[in-house]
Amino acid sequence: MVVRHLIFALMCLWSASSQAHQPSDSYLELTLSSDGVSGHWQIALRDLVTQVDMDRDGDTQLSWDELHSALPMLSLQAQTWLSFSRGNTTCEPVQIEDLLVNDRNDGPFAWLSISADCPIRSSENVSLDYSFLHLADPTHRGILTLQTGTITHSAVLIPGAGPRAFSLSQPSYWTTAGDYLWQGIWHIWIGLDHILFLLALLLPAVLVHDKGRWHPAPDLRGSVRDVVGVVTAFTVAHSITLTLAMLGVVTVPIKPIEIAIAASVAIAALNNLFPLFGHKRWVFAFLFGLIHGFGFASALSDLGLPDTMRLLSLLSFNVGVELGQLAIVLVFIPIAFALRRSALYNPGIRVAGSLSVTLVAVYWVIQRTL
Amino acid sequence: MCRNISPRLTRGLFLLATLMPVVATPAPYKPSEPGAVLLQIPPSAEQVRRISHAQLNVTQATNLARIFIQRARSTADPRELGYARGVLQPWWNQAEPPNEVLLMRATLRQSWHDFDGALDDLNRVLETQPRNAQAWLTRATILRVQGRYPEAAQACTALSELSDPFVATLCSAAIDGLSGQLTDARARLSALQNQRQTQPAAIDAWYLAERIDMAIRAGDDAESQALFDIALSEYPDDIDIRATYAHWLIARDQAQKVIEHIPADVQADALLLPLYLAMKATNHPSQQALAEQLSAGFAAGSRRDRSPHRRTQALYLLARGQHLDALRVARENWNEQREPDDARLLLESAARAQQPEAADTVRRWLTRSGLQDTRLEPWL
Repeated sequence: MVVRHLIFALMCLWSASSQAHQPSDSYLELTLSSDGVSGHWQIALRDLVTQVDMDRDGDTQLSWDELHSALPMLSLQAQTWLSFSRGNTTCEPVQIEDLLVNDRNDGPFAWLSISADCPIRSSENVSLDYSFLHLADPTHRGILTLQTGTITHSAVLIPGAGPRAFSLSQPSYWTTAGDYLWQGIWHIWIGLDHILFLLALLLPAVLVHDKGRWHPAPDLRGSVRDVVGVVTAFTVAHSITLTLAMLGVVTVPIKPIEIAIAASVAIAALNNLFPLFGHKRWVFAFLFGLIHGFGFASALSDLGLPDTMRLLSLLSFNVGVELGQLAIVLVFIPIAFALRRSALYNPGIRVAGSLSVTLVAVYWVIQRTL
Repeated sequence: MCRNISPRLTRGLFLLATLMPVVATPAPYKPSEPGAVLLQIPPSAEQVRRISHAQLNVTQATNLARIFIQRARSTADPRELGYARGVLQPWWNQAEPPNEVLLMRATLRQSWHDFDGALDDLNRVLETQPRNAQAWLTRATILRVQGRYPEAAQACTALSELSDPFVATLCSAAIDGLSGQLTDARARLSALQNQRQTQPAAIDAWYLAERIDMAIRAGDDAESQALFDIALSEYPDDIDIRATYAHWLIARDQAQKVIEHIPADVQADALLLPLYLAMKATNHPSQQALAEQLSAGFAAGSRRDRSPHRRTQALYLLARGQHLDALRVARENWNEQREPDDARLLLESAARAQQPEAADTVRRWLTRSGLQDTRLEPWL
């Protein structure tokens, strides 16, 4: 007996370093919406076979057929492994809607599409009770990502540790509106092509083109009227297309849009060297604004709209774009107005600046075409 | 919209993207054949299903735990350790668990690198059973891993009255070989050569592993190779011996041999890491996939309270050229365990991170302990 125990001690101890595989994890990717909970739950087949006897033919191999036939049993068990409640009310039991297989680097996993009916109101807390493997393997963990509106919660679930609450009040209307507003502002500021387009259009606002020459504008009023015209036309136009695209009314491939946006920058800049539109720059701003709107839509779809508060998010993003744009205008116009009589501004910035913008834009057109 | 930002920003983002670890997102699928085999069901599955905590007495539970732990050792699968932990659940949090549970808990805590917790359990066993050989041997092992050689030697002395002289000599020679008496310890172990055949396989494998370790530290390539040949032919599945051999080959620029020696579907990360190092050295096409697998393992480990992977992780970071991260992990690892490999890891990480003074603690410890290891010399 003593020797047997010694050998055991040796076998288990003289190799402190040979840990291996990955410890047992399951992965939950869930979304909470007004209807309830839905998403995926990935469980290692290696873990499932310790809970449900699925090997019907007793050949110590688990086949797809055997796994699939065990679905009713798995569905029943899954309701005891994972449950939700809102406030003090228990939600409907978890349903398995689909079963697939996923080969992860730590072995084959069952991919369960799950849902639980639970009309969740935004003011409530939602609790998740996770108890998978809590008796069999207390070192097991559930790796959770829980999406609620624009917010993603991450948690490592310890089986049997009791219900874990997640606050839903976080993405309130104000937070969502604020998030998307800021995203809109941010998008304008990092979108160099939108900025250059706007600046190229605004550059001549403090000048007057007359008989083939550019003169300083006599007063601020005329300049402001010009700026308001251009900015409003641009805003109205891109709001139209942004909304149409986001509501799925129109779909446009992004590549030609990007090329057209780059081209619009070049044309706007060239207009400052060879005036094409005269006083009708607002028409031009409107036409190309339609195209820029599709560009904003593409940015916003990368970001994603939440299931609830879609319109609010869309509106906030758009307002953010306008605010970002307004900030640029408010910085640019006073400086331009002050400098309008100087040679630095005209012909300096008007010619050299517009030329450089044209070159950059032509480079973009080429880059985006290739 | 990233597509619209300036070329410079685009370049920056591209650079950022290439620096970020590539995480493969696997796609779920529906197998086309109903008979497609998805999994070889391990024997533990049925055992776990049949455990009923209401009916197991402490002897049955510890016997099952022992089976799971042994299987964890042979398959290198940490899930088996979790099952052992699970079967002991009714006793785990008791104020005074029975001694057989304390011994199992010590073993499990040791596997999760909770060395102080494990020693605490063993001391409690030895208070009531001072002649428990398993407890003394386990204690000697943990103290040795912690670099507490005088105390480990005392545990071996206690063992000498309780067990076979072969085991007792092995225990104390191993400690002496680490604390300033390498030459003498090698002579004592090679004198046992004729008795090793009469020993059980586990003890014989331990004997060979100790001799290999000493030969490597002494820089005796000829004897190392000869011992590896014996050990690998007699214990071809021993993960530790294979891992030691793989690292030894890599240090001798024989990475190709490692790739031939370790199967690509290996799971033990003690073997995965040298396989990765070998693939990296030979610019093997599978190295990226292996890097992802190792990273995923480290991430999973870091989600637990304790990670037994720090040594491997630091070696990995060193190989990836992330010297500062490697130094950070090597430091944490050194606070936990102090085997010669851990000393080398901290010395090398500190040197590569251009902060050699960060390993001064190792240099002081080497003077104090008397550890001899030719592999440490380039970094001193």
